[in-house]
Amino acid sequence: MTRPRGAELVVDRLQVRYRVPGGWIEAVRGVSFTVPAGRTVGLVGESGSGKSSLAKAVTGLVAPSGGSVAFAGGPVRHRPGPGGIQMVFQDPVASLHPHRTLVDLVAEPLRWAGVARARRRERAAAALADVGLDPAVYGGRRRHQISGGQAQRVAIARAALAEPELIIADEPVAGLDVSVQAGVVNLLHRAVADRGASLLFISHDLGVVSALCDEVVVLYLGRVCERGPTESVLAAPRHPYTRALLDAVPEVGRVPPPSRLPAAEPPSPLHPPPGCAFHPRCPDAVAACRTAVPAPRELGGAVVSCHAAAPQTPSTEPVTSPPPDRSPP
Amino acid sequence: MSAPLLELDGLSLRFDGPAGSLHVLESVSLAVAEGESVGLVGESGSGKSVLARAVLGVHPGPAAPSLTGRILLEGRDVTDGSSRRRAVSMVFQDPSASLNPVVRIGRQVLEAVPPAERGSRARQRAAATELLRAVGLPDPGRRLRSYPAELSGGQRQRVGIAAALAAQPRLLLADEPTTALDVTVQQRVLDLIGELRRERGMALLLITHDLGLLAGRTDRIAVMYAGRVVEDGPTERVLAEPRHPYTRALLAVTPRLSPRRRPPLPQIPGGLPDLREPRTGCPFAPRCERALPECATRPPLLRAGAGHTVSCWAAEGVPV
Amino acid sequence: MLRRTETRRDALVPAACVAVLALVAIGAVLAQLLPQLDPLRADFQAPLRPPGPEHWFGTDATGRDVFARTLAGGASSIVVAAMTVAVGLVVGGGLGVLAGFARGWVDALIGTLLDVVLALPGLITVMVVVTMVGPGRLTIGALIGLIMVPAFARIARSATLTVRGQEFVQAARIMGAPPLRIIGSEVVRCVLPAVAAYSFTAVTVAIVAEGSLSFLGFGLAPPTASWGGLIAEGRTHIATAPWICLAPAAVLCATVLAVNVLGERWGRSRP
Repeated sequence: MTRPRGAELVVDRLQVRYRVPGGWIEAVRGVSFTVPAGRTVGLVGESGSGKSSLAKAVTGLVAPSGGSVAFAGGPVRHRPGPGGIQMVFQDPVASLHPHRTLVDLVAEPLRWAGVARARRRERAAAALADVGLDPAVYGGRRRHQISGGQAQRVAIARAALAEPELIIADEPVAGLDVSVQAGVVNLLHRAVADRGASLLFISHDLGVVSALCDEVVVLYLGRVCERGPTESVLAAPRHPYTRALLDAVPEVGRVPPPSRLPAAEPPSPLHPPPGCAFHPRCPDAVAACRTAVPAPRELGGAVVSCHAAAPQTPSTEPVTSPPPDRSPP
Repeated sequence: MSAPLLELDGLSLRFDGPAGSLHVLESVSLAVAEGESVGLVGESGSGKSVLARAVLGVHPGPAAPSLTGRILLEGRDVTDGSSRRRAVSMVFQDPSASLNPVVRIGRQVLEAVPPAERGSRARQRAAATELLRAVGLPDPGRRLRSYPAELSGGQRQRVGIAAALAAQPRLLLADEPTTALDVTVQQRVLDLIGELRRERGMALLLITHDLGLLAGRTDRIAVMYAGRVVEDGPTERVLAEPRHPYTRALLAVTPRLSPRRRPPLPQIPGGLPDLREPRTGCPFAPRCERALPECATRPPLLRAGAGHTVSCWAAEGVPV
Repeated sequence: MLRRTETRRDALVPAACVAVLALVAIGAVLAQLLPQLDPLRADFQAPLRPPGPEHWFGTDATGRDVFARTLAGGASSIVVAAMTVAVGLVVGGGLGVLAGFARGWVDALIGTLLDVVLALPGLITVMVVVTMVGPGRLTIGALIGLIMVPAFARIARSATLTVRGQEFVQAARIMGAPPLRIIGSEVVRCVLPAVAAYSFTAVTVAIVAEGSLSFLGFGLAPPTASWGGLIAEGRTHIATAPWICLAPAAVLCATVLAVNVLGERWGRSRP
């Protein structure tokens, strides 16, 4: 077994806001979680949850408006060379320079680290072969000459060649066909598992997250609803939003249970509801949800931010069973 | 038995361009009965969207493709591009792209209705309100005056569905109608399409890349790969007992909620065949774990059960 | 059929434009080298001769060969245009890339600076400065270039903003690439085509502006030949010897047209 050598990422009460015409969007409103060294954490959320803003703030691409991000005990810095943070983007084609060949693209982290050209091309060719792209065939191609799945392989090869201790992957399979997704997920897993690095995997797809991640953090409108070990969150979701998300995930052969959410669309991040942001769509909402932001509480191994969540015995029912009957108001 | 509402009979479609030809559809046969709902499943490059556009009689790109075979709608041959007589409507994948951003919703909803049939202003308003109410848009009367940008993604797709319903089609084509939406919204939009279909007795061709969406929602599933329908059968049968190796592989790689499925996840080796070449044998053979020497020639169409056909050398069944 | 003729025209028009520019350039060089083409050699026996085998474009009031003077004027235009583009590209392009990449107060400061330059009435400013420092091809080229800096900077800034937000630039930042090298190797390569396309416009503006200045007497001082100056000289004889101003005017128009057409093709070939 490889000793975990990745460094811990600690996100503490992080806030990110953007100015938009007509006000501010509070994209991330006080999010705290940890990616322990050598672990894989999935950040799940739908549009407007703030997951992409969070990724940008963690990597320092946008400045947080509050809170802090610490990596290996200090602030996040981007230095060439091993041991840092690398990122895999949602649009793999856009993350590759349009004029460079694949070999040069994969070699980029070594270039910034000052490795000699011949040596870095050699290592890049090996890295390309490692992600299943024959360097003799693909090495000289450019980004418009490959498919999206191949581009994501190139991006992963590049990230891995930098020998990071943490990879942040922002929706890396969202635009890919299912038959291609599994290959990319496997490569990402190998890129971190082989070296004991950690992975922050951001996705809207609980199915992929559940297969890949040790822990799950569920985001809704810029706040954490629930976080905990993947198995316990999936087996006994405590937050009504997590339950709704689990019910809605399309699963082969499963007839989806009728949605329990009152027929409300997700609110605009420009005007998030007061109190618990989920309350207008929540089937379990109580009076307190409309006014007070629920504080995170430990419940059965997970941390849940919900006024209505009760400390129930861990469920032995299958994941997909309907939650206890509480008819919507 | 009466003729099906939509029948594709050996439909092949080819785009000819300066860089060569693309053989997008190869002898596709598919039928949708009156009031039936069929899921058309395939990945990118399978030809599923091109098929939908051929049924609708519109084609992307500057040049019209060459079509062989027949498209029969209500028993009439419409392959040559003759009028669909408003028998078919389409719900598009991206509602923000299919709606005009500077036209109020009330007007866009009735776009498919010829002006001569729209009647007075008051009647138009009533008809549009009724459509928006039918698709579950809150406060439909006031929404008529909204612009698409004032609605959320899910609401815009509801407007897209309302616009598709305005012509009172007998067949609704829905091309990845929920791919652009969040999962919690996706479920509601699919439920809505299902309800409207039952209420109005429409037939539905639901095009998707996600096999997980179809259980309980369609009567039948047709699986496409590289321009061919490789398997076609009752939804539950196809999901529970897939006969084509591609369907099986697709089911195996579709993500599911299970923390016990650790990587490496099962994957399908290889990639799509080159669509510039006509496929002589089975297009899936190079990626197929059960490939036989015969797969280099065109596989037979086999009957694998009631209403269940599969096109494969390695599958069991009676030749059709 | 239609397609074939179109392809032929597509190839012919740029070829003709290149030919025009090549002739102007070769002529400008020859005018410096060949004594027969000395623009200052006056033949006092033959003033105001119409175009003929001896003097292709005729002669002016002092018997100087208009053809030789037009070629020499081309040399001035080339020097002025080259200087304009150099100043515009380096100063304007540099400021634009810097503003677009750094954003924040740097962007605001550069923006204000450019607004000040934009507020200056271009030609009048050049005239004033020329009166102060004296005329000269490089001075005039540099001044026109400075007047065009805001346009270059705007184009470079907007192209930089687009490139900067793209994920491959973000990826380079995360990989630890130093900001200056990101600008140098990632951004400039993507911004250059847009700015280069504008250089064609800058060339035509420079040629026309230099012509206008010389015509008004604020450009290149006689005896340095310049198209604008030639046109101004010929103006007094336009009724009796129209060739003196028509010949350089025609060459000026042909040159500007050729540059414009080529610039447009260039812009079209790069989406």
